[in-house]
Amino acid sequence: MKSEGGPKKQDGKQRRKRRRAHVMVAFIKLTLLEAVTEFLWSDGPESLLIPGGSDILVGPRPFTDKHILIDISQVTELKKVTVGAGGVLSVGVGLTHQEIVDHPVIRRRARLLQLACGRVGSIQIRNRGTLGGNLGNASPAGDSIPALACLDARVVVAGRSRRREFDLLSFFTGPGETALQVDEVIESVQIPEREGRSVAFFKKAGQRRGMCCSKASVALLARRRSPKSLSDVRVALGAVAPTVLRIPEVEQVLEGRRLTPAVIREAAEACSRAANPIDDIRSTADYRRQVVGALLTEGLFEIADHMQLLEQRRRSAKRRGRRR
Amino acid sequence: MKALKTVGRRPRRLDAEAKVLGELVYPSDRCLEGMLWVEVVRSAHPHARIESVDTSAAAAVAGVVCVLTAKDVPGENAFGIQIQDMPVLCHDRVRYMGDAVALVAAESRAAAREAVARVRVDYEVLEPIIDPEQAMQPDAPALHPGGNILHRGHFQKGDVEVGFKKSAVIIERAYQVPMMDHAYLETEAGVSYYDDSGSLTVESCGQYVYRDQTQIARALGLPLEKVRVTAPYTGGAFGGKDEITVQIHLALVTYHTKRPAKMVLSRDESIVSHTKRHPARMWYKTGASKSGKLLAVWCRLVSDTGAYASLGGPVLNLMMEHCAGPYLVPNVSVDGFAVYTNNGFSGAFRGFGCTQACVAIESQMDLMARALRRDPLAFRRDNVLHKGDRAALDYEMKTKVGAEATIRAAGRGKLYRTRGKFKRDRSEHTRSMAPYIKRGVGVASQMQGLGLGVGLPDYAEVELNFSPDGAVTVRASTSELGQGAYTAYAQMAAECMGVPLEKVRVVGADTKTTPDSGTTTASRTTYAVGNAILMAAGKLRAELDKRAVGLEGISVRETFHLPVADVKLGDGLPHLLYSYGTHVALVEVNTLTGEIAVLAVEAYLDGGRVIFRTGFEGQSEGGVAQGIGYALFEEVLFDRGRFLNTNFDTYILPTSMDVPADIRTVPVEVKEDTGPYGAKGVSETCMVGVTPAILNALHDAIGVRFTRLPVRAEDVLRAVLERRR
Repeated sequence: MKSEGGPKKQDGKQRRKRRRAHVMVAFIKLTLLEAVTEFLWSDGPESLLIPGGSDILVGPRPFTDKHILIDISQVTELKKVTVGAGGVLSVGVGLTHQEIVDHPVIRRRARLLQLACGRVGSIQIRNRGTLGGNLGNASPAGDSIPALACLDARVVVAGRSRRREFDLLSFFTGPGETALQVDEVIESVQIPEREGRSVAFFKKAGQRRGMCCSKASVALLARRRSPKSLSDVRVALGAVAPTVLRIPEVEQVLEGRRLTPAVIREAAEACSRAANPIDDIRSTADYRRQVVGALLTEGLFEIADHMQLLEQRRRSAKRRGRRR
Repeated sequence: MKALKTVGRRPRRLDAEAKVLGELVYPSDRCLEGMLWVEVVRSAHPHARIESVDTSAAAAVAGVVCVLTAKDVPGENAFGIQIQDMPVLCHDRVRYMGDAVALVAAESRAAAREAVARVRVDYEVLEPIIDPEQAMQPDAPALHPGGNILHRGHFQKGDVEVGFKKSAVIIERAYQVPMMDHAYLETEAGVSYYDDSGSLTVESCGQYVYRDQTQIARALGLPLEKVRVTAPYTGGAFGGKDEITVQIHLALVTYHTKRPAKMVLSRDESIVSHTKRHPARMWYKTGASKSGKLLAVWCRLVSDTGAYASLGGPVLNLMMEHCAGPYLVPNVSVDGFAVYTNNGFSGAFRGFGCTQACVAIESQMDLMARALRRDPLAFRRDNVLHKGDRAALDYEMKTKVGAEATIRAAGRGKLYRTRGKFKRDRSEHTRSMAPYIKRGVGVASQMQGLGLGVGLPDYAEVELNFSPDGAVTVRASTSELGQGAYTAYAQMAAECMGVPLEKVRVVGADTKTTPDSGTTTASRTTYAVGNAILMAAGKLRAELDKRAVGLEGISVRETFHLPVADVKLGDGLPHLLYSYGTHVALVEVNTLTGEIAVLAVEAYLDGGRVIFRTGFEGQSEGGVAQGIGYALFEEVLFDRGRFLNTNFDTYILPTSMDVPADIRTVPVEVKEDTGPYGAKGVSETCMVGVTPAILNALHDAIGVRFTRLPVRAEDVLRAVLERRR
């Protein structure tokens, strides 16, 4: 939930200099959403919101002594989970990743979000970092974003006496950049209800297993249409483009088709083609392109195995029934 | 022999309670009344000439007490363990990004940092020398007066050409290993002040207080007795605090201001400035007969020592000494070069050259076993060195050799014996049943010289005091770096004085109150200090028989001189004593994503008799983690001499999730005749073999030989795709 007022990301040289200087900043804690929006309205450009602080405390500090840090980790309105008209699930973005993972309502209605939040960083980071922080940072590697993209989530932001709603992917305008105004705070994500039995996975490749930032990630959400095929397939990729991508090409390949090895290969290839990654200190563009396909393959094989297992169980139950 | 009461058991560590309660004071915890914060102005370029240094703006910052430059170094503006080629503060030239150009001391850290940013240094930027091969060329610009080759060596045994002619299988490969950071928990830190007797005192994080004292006194132009250095407890070192880090800078500030001073390096500054593991390139050609006998090892080793010497020479010597592993080879030829470049600065690090060589020779051994279709452990066992054999550099192995015992123990171990089952059976260590998951088991065996080796002063003096209440105090100047050595000292003192462990106290690392026990390096402290304790205890018991204990108790001092080889091939070359070890690793490779998981490691370690069992296992488990880091994750990256990853967000260390829960450490206790209770040391052996065991397991899993570390998922996937084509 970075305020737009903070200076933009700096290159390495400037960053080193910045790190050397000690900075004294004002720090306040607000507990009412109204107080936060009021404060942002009057002092927006100078303020920096801290939902969990897992980035700001350790990273290159994106603030100067002119800044006011606002701790919003205790704003109760941001921690609400409700189910509204039409079965829309509203998740307050002040929840930590671990709170999302442990939440029974989210488990029933948005399991994919839990799968993704459960893979963020480490247990320490999941205990502090929030969904709002993950969205506000707008990193293409943010783990919750591909999951929310598959869930067709909408983002609600609050300003002083106004609210705006965005389609999730249109909320992100570039790496580290969002449509959030300086006087606004992200309030919740709205997840529409889905019919039928869902299957979902979130897979990521990182530099190591613990405490790890995604080199590439894949989220998939679909309905089990028949014992052997999927429908209403959504696939989103993280860390392989300036922002998270939904991949309709892959979705079309999988739509309604049996999960045979040939179909899975076709989907993986489409996935790799759709990726537009870069080389950086964590990995290479080549690897990222290949691994999104690999992650999708792994996930689809697991789903195919799982569906086969269910089918076997169903059949043997049927047989037992007949015998009786 | 009498049954031992304390030695070999698992007592609670002496420092356990203080550490768990957070009461133990580490150098970075120290705070003194009226102390100044010291910050360093480091070089802005990997290679440049300094044209001018303007400190006026920095001195004007509120709270700044002094800004010091090269002209303020009263003694010799140079330090270095072996060759003093590194300036305390650079005056004409900088050779790496960590070079110190000026010091700022201020009332607050904020003011000191502010002033650092205001010191103006004008540089004439020079082309950095980044390739060791080019640096060796005669026309390359010289970084030091003697040229860029810090040290070279050539050794020959037999005739390799004859060996290769007789060989049925010849394997040739080039290996490349990266620069590695020690990644100790506590960065370099300390305080300095004048003590009551007027000695300039530095409480710091070093690994040898007496050498630090010498280096400080030389730089400040003070007599030794006017300098006092202490370093009893430090948050990890692994060799990275063997060289001077903050000590001279601290002393310099106190010398000029007469005030106490404190320094704690940030992680970025730590990674940029301190010595690292030498990156190296190693070319190997090895041959064996059809019957599986090693016939020849030829190798060329080039280690990049970076900007200054530190221990680059001795590290290369050990790399050459251990170039053929713990094996009997009739024909050996080795050429080694340690070369100056502008790539950071390298020095001592757990394994000390053996680590690099072991990666190469153990890969070669595996490749040869494969080519001969021999069991990799049996092939090693058939070629292993024994006492009386002539080692790779053609000297006789005169002490007990435990290599074969560790190999045999590894062969009896569960992991190796049932490796077929581990590779097939997914129920144990289960991650996935999928067909694209491949498993492999690899082994590696190694030896590691103990002590500094021939030609370097290597002794340990300790003081033992018996007080009227029956308590025993051990005074030794080695440091407790986390390894648990003080507990081992206490166990040995309790055992030989016949007192319970609770009655023993250990006072460590203070040039004023403890005698010179040598370095806390080279797997030597348990062996060297232990022997001195045994000698002193004998003398103390004799004294106790003769006279009554007065109020001050009875104190005795004894010095143990480490036995050395009767030949000298170079500084620290060769050793008389070695520790041995064989590691077995089980890895799993996801051939879709290239990801690697180490599922289990077994360590069979001959460090002689184990004194402190829990400490022994702790060393081994830490060694496994570090060996995994070297194999799969860790590498300091450079762009033309500039560091790219100076913090743990981009310098990737293994986490608890990346280290297997299943680490089995088995002591193979080949009792050393000259060791205290038969002990040697284990602190390096426990890490060195882990890395090649993982490489060999990877080969077993997917049939690909990796010759460049670290092996990343990117490398695995590229190799898997290439094989498929």
